[in-house]
Order: sequence, then structure tokens, then C-alpha cells
Amino acid sequence: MHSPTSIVIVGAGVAGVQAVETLRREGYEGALTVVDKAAEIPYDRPPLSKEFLAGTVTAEDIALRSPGHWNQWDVDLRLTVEATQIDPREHTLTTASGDVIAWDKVLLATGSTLRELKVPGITLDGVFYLKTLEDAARLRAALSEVQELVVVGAGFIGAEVASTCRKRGLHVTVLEMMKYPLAHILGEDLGHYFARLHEAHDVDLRTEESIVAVHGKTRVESVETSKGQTISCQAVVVGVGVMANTPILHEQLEVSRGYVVDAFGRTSLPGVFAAGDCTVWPYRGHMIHVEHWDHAVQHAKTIARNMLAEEMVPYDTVPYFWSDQYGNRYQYVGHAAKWSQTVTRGSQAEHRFTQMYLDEENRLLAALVANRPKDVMSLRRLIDARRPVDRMQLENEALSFTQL
Amino acid sequence: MTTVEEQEYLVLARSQDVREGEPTSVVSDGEVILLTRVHGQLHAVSGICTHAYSELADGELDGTRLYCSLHFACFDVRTGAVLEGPAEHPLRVYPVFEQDGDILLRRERRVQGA
Ligand SMILES: Cc1cc2nc3c(=O)[nH]c(=O)nc-3n(C[C@H](O)[C@H](O)[C@H](O)COP(=O)(O)OP(=O)(O)OC[C@H]3O[C@@H](n4cnc5c(N)ncnc54)[C@H](O)[C@@H]3O)c2cc1C
Ligand code: FES
Repeated sequence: MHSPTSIVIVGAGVAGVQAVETLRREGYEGALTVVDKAAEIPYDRPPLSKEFLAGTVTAEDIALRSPGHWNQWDVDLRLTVEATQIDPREHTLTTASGDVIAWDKVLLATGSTLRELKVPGITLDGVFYLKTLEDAARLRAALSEVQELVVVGAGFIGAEVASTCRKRGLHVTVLEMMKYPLAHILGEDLGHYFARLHEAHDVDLRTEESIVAVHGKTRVESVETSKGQTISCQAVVVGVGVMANTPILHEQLEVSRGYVVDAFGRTSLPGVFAAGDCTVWPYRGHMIHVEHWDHAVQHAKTIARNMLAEEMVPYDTVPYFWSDQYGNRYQYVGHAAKWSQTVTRGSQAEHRFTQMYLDEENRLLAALVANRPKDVMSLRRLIDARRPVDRMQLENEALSFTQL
Repeated sequence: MTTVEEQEYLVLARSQDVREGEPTSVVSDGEVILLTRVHGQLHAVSGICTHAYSELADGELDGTRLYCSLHFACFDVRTGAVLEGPAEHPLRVYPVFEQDGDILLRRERRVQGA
């Protein structure tokens, strides 16, 4: 393998920016071009539904790296440039405006997009999605005129928006299609816990109920639900799921719920790698898709190194994410599509607990940690170790997880 | 008028309250200060991660490496330097020492002189 002399990164989200930093830190001195269709200096998304929406931080505060870094890294950062096509034979990328960029190696870091809701009236003014800084700024500006808000979807983004808006004093209704929020990830018991959490903060959570139409003359005035209810509101925020964004396609580039990469981050096109939210990747024998911050960072770090290295290293980091809701911090480590038992330490009533998910051989697969941040790193190591653990010990508060 | 600098000493904690390997935070004058003891040696750095917002007392200490529990930025508790992770700025280091079973912070105070 020859060492690359020109690398192009598509997407300057947290994965793309991490890749830039890693490439330079690892001593890559060749040309480095980053294109992003957005106009802003690359910024961080998690605060958009939290501190930025609450108004406690500004756009400047959430820049991913201070502006000086971009000069120091000697990067050709091309904003408002959308990459549209790849040519693996010519080793070029084409942009929406017809420019052609040559590459030795490419990293696709095109992230994710929000699932769109298709119901009558959805294009009315006052309906918001929350993915970009522009989305968040528009929503934040609109909130001052809003007394009643409807959030569609009680997933993480929906729950954080509900929490932030309750704190701003709005009346908030959340519509959730499923019986319990987040139950598909955390199980029914915790789904029940999160339902009560919303209710405890005076959010009108309506489960097994979906939106069928948005009504209003020029802007949103109400939504109509599958149970025939009409809910008066001045704004609607849609949070009904996230999908990998795969804008660049090629017949030899394998895409299946995301760019398919191997453990080293290689796509099916030679010289083309992918990292972060836009990928599906192998984790313990399954191809999974993770759309969380830490994964995007760690994945990009490993893969950027692999783009330079003679000897590549496989990526098998235990996934992790967090979510802040109603003053509580929830942290999740691992990945468990199914599990055979759970073990809990602490108390749900006090919002301080850790629920662990085990397989039939008593191996820890994942854990949800509520306001017990000290548990996170040691549990991540226990999950990484993949060895059976004693249930009684897991449950025993007197034992620290580092002792197991 | 001239300003002169005076040293003053604030008691932050009792020595016995800061045990080997267990980061402990104290609030002094509105600032959160994280005290750690590594191989008997006492260190004091700012107790709030410089990345986003997280209290470092919730993190994990591995030798002199301190990991934030939110996105795992890693700092050196001796120098405050960023060793790994998303933080860009080092932690502030506070001058502390121990005397008669107390942990003291030394700080300069500006006073207006004649
Ligand atoms: C409101 C909100 C709150 C969140 N909160 C949390 C949280 O609390 N915890 C957590 O773990 N995760 C959270 N996340 C998820 C986290 O932000 C993502 O996992 C992370 O941003 C993924 O990074 P990425 O670089 O892979 O993708 P993205 O951040 O999606 O970045 C992809 C970039 O690629 C650009 N791009 C796409 N297509 C093209 C193209 N064709 N040409 C040029 N550029 C292109 C886009 O403009 C974008 O800038 C949150 C996300 C949102 C939206
Ligand atoms: S807040 Fe500490 S690493 Fe992000």
C-alpha cells in the first residue's frame, strides 16, 4: 500500500472533524480537503436539543474546534459544497456545482438524516425538525411565540426537546406510537420509567397515539391524532427517527441501511472508507448502525489511522451514548438488541440507578446508567471483557464494578 | 494609590478526606476544585471539565490520568494538561499544600494600598 498524498473527507460533522485531527496527529502531511454542504464552521449537535435550545449557549460555544485549528491543520475546508458522485476508476469526486476533486483516499462521513413525517399539513409554518444549527436557531427563535408545543416521537431527541421546553414554561404534549417510550432499546420496565418521567414533569404523554394531520390556515394551529383528538398548538417538533445518510452512490459501493464497512472501515470501493452515523459496521458478529456521538468520534479515529497505516486495526469499541432529560443524566453503554435478563442497582424512584442487560451466559451486554456516572467506565470495560459475571455480585452495591 | 498583592490561605478540606485514588471536589468561592492524591502527593485542578459540562469528581482516576465521565476527555491531574479526547483546554491548576491535617489553597489577593 502506498501512502496517500491527497485525502478527501465528505462531511464535517464530529466524525469528519475527528478524522482531520487524527490524520494530522498521525503525521499525515499530504493534501487534505473537507467538503460539507452546510455553511457553518463545523459544530457539535448534542447541545442543539439541550443548552442551545434552552438559550444558555451560543452558536460560537458549540463549534467543534476553535477556528484557529482549521488553519493550523492546513485543511482546505470547503463549506456549502455538496459532494454528489464518486468515480472509483478516475479517483474523483464531483460536487453539485460540477467541480471535480481528485483523491487518493476518501472518507465518507456523511452522517444521518431525520426520518420525515408524511401527513397532511406537515409543510405548514411552525413544523420543525432538529438536526442542524439552522433548525435549532429557527426553533429557538419561534419558541418565544409558542405556548403549546406538540412533540412527535418520544425518542431521545423528542424527549430532550420536551424537557428543554417544559423548563422554558411551555405546555408540552408528546405523541408516541409505541406503548412505552424507548422500550425497543431499554425494555418495557424502563419504558415505563421514562413514561412516568415525562408525566412527573407535567408533560402530556400520549402513547399508542400518532399524528394523522397538522391543521392551520397559514401556520400550525393544531394537530389531529389517530385517536381522533385535536391538540391545540403553535409549534410541532418532529423526532420520529434517524437514518444513515448515503448521498453518494455507486453500483460497486455497498449500501444497506448505511454504507457497509468492514472492521477496518473500508467500504466495498477500494480506497474509500466510511465512519460515523452513515455506516453499518460489524459488532460481535452483527452488522449494526449506531447514531451517537461517541461512536462517531471513536470510529473516525480508528478509521483515519487505518487510512494511513500499513497494518490496520479493527474497530470494536463498545458503543456509548448519553441523554440529558429533566435535569437527569442517562448514559448507555453497550448494544443489546435482545437480552435474557436484567439486574438493577439503585433506585428508579430516586432517579439513581443502573440497569444491566445480560445474555443467557451471564455476560454483560449493555447498561443504562441514570445519574450514577461513576459506573460508566467500569461497566464499559466489563462489557468489553465479555466474560460471564456473577449476578449476585452485579447486584451487590457493596462491590464496586471495578472489583468484578 | 498602589495595589499590593497579599497571600492568603483558604482551608479547602481536611487531609484525611482526600484519599488515595478517590477524586474529591470542594467548592471554594464559587469555584469547583478537584482534589486528588496520587502516591501520597496532593494535586488540585479545576473540577469542571473544559469540554462541555461535567463534574470531574464523577470521573475515573487512573494513576495521574483523570477521565471525564461524559465524553472521556483525559487530563493529567498534576499539570491539568489534556492527554486525550475532545477537550481543547487544560484544567486550571491550583497551588495547594497540607499543614496540620488541613489542605490549604494559596492565593494572591489584590488590596488597595495608600
Ligand atoms: C439534536 C441532536 C441531539 C443529539 N444528542 C446526542 C446526545 O445527547 N448524545 C449522543 O450520543 N448523540 C447525540 N446526537 C447524535 C450525534 O450528534 C451524532 O451521532 C453525530 O453528530 C454523528 O456525527 P457524524 O459526523 O457521523 O454525522 P453528522 O453529525 O450527521 O455530520 C455529517 C455531515 O456531513 C455533511 N454532509 C452530508 N452529506 C453531504 C454531502 N453529500 N456533501 C457534503 N457534505 C455532506 C452534513 O452537512 C453534516 O455536516 C444528537 C443529534 C442531534 C441532531
Ligand atoms: S464534558 Fe468532559 S469530555 Fe465532554
